[in-house]
Amino acid sequence: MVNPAGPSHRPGNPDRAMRQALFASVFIIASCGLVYELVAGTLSSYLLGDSVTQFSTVIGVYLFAMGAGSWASKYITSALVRRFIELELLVAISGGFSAALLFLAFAQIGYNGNVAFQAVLYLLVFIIGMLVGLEIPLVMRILEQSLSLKELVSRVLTFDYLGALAVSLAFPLLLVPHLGLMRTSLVFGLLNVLVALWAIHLFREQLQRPRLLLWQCLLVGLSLIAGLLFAEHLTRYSEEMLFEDRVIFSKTTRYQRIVLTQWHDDTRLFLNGNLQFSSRDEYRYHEALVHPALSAIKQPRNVLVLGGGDGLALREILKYPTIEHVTLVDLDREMTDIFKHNIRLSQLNAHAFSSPKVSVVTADAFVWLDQQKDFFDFIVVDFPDPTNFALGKLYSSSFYQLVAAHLSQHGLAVIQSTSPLYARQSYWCIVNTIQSVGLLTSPYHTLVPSFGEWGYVIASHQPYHPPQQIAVSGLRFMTPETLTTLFQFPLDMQAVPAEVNRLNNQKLVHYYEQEWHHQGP
Amino acid sequence: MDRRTFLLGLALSPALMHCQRSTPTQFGGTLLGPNHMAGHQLRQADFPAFSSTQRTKVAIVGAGVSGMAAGWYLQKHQMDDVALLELEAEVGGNARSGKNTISAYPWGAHYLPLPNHDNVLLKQFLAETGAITANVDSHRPLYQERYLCFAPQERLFIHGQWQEGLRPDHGLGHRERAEIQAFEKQMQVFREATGRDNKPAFTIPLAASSHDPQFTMLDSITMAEYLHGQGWHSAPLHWYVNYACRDDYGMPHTSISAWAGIHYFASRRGQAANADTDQVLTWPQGNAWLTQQLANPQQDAIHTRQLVHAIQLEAHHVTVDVYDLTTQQTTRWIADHVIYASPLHTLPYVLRNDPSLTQAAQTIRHAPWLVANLSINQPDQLNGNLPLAWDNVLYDSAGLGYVVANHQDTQRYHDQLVLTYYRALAHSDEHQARQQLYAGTWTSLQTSIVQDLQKAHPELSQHILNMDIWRWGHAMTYPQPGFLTNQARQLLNHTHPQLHIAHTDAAGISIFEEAFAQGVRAAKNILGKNNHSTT
Ligand SMILES: Cc1cc2nc3c(=O)[nH]c(=O)nc-3n(C[C@H](O)[C@H](O)[C@H](O)COP(=O)(O)OP(=O)(O)OC[C@H]3O[C@@H](n4cnc5c(N)ncnc54)[C@H](O)[C@@H]3O)c2cc1C
Repeated sequence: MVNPAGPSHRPGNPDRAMRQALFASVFIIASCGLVYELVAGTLSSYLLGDSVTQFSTVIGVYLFAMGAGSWASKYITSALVRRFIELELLVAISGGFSAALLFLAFAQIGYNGNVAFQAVLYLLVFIIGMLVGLEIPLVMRILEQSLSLKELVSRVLTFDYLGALAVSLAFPLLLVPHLGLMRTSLVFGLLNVLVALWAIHLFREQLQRPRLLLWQCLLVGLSLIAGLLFAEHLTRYSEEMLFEDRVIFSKTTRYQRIVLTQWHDDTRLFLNGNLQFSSRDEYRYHEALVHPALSAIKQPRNVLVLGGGDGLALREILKYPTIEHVTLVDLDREMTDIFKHNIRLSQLNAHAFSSPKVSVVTADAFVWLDQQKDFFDFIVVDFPDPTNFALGKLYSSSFYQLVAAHLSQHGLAVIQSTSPLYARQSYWCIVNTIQSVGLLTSPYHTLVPSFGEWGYVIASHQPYHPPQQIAVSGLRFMTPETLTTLFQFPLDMQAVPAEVNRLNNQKLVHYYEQEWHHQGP
Repeated sequence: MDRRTFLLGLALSPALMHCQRSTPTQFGGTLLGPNHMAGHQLRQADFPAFSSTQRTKVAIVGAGVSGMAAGWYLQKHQMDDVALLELEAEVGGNARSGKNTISAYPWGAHYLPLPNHDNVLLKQFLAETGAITANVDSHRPLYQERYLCFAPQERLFIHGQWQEGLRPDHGLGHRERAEIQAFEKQMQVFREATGRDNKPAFTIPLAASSHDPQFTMLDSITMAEYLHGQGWHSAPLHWYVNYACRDDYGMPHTSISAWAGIHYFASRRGQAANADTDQVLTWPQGNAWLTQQLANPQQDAIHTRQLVHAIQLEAHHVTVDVYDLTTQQTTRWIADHVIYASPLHTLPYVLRNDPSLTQAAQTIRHAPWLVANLSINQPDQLNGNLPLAWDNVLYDSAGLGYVVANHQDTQRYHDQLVLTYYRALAHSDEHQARQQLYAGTWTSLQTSIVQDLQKAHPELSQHILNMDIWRWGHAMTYPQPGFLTNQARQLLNHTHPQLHIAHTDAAGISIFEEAFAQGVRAAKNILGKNNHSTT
């Protein structure tokens, strides 16, 4: 018998039992290879979306790498069995940990680093593909001696395909639902280790230093088992990295995706993935939104809030005893409903929606205002930032014309106006647009740590003077002294030229897109 | 199946399953068009003799833009004794509209470009309607923002992707781009040019344009010939200019006079304080908003479902025989003047005793058109790489694209939309095109429309709730080479003692501004004569 690891480049002539054992390994190898491919494809489409593209590119890279592996197999000329065993261990590690690695990479890099994540993804897919591509040629060469080429090709490929079939059925039906992606890949990594162990056993007599190989198997096997034990933690960790906090509510309504997260005492609201408030510092945002204007109005009675379905502006408004009636117009019934009924959230807005002074209208603010005849002493315009044309309409001159038409002669309106620091031209575009309909403007800003520097504009028919007093007590942020400083703009936020935002030019959406694109917060 | 395809198939199976779910849903719709029976009846001259008579100073035949503009102007000048006789149940003609639970929508004309500074009367009318809110006399009036087309105005689906604007750009080579730029530059030159008669080379109404032969010469060749003559042969430029000709005139640039083709690009100089020159005025119901404004003050003069079937020019008056589609009786109107504001291919059947005019009317050519209104759900699927615009055009398509009727809504979200699809059956052979149009069934037309749009919207058919289709057999006239100096057209525009032709057929090109100017011109002629006789 020739030493399989020896210089003859020929493995031993495996007997029947050994051959069957090797065919069984082919079956397992094939299943593992397919599992890693599916895991990468599923994960990337899960994380990046667009499943057709993700799957095709992952499969393309994977198959190409397999080809490269098959081609490279000709350079393995000695100690075939040993190389095969080492190969199995490499596949076990890279494939077994692939899902965990990708999750962590994505969590670290986040949604904004799609390109970096894809680099990691394709590199990993390429490495695994290449290793898997080496497997079958090596097995075939190990078996080459004992079988005719015809038999060899027929049997090996049969088991190869059978393995693929088994996994293709098990993956969607059993593995993903019961084990999840991370555990599935770890379990299949262990199967690769088993194949390696089996091969050591089969060829124990021909292998030199089999103990070293056994130790290696043990090391890889144990790390995979450790991975399995920690899979739960790993998953949670990476999701927490992704979403930072625990999601306590999420719902896709007709209009938007509402997500609420909670982390210790911090509750956050996201609309379509954009942060609307963090309970840690929303008081800064809402006190700055309401009090500079409302405290300056003598005897405010009738108030209108457009947007602001979280009720937090309402909470501040209701602190003024002279107010008789507040109308809140929000597009999304689901928003106002959960902020009325959810215990934690209604605590946050001090049960504003249960106040008899408040009436909620579910309507499109533009359309509603168009059909209204009432005048208001104070109008709060608190819409999401102008990220698209639909929202851009709510910052147009036509819209502010309506605001002007419903603002009483001595009334004040306040408009949330994105960040004068990150989106400077957008901010001043809003100011110019408000002015273009004949309203006077008083721009101001404040720091809301979870947002950064934030901007507002007070609009009025009569000149606005910051109040000497804040008419209500119990505030956490605003004092009459700080209030007057908000109207000063440091150099990097001062006015820049900007066109008026009209329905027929949607300038603001263009400015906004450019600015946030170039310098995200 | 080898391993590769097996793997690919397996991996894609969720995506494939998704596709399979998308079996086309069934939707309904109706085939519509102008009153067909009336045309037939006209040709047969199959009407009862008149059973009553009425008197009026001015009888206006047809309450489209031109007819109602005449009425509007007459009323403005204290001429109230007017009868507007309209065949259909609704006024508006080519600018009529429909309405369903989702939106109002146009069946024809749908926009008006910013009028030129010297188009004083049109601007005055717009100011009366509130479309111009201030500074009507200035070079840059202030327009009602809600009527200016909201941004984004246009996008073009070209080489598998949407681009902003209709001028092809995405995926073009350097040479192709340069040619389009050269063309635009030349059009700018024409836009600013004046002739030796000190008139603008190209303006609206076209009759006010310069007669300088260096420009009118262009009327002797087609627009395609003009482009080739300039050394411009690239496909994207030809597509662009051809699109403009099909869109405005309903015929390919190989059939359109180069003068008219250039007129489209070079005649518009209108400015606004709050809009760019290339922006347009539009409404959900299209120009039916304008025709409604024209109709409102003269409601009392308008008589609908009245088919004018015979006009006799007498020595001192005109008789107009009108068949009432409701009572099925003929009334004879005895008028001092008649304004003919109906398509001229009907004139030969109506005007019995003026062979020269009849003959002239027979030379007028008409392009057939197809308009469809599609109600759809899940509008998001129409977005693609750029959000939905007002006008959405497909490069290299048989149609002219579609306009979103809801585009001028201020509302943020729409669950459903109405899309108005346009197609000029721009065939060099007009009769064949018309036959093709009438041979189509709702099913065949609907299928070809869906097929056309599917290039940009593969899933569209699943989202259509309803599709109504309107066939315009004689939609509008189009300017062939030689139309400027065409004798027949000149005869039709000539003032006759009692008969005044106002329809855009006689203007040579069919746009709102021409219809408006034609109507006003007819009214002025009458007022001039009237003043003359009373003083
Ligand atoms: C599909 C389509 C799209 C268009 N889009 C635009 C656009 O976007 N912008 C633009 O400026 N122009 C557009 N046009 C051009 C449009 O034709 C003109 O703008 C304008 O509406 C023409 O008005 P008119 O008065 O000359 O004729 P018409 O609109 O043809 O009016 C003629 C009227 O006479 C009536 N009538 C006919 N016969 C009789 C009879 N025997 N007795 C009584 N009444 C009769 C008809 O019912 C009709 O109401 C479009 C045209 C079509 C067909």
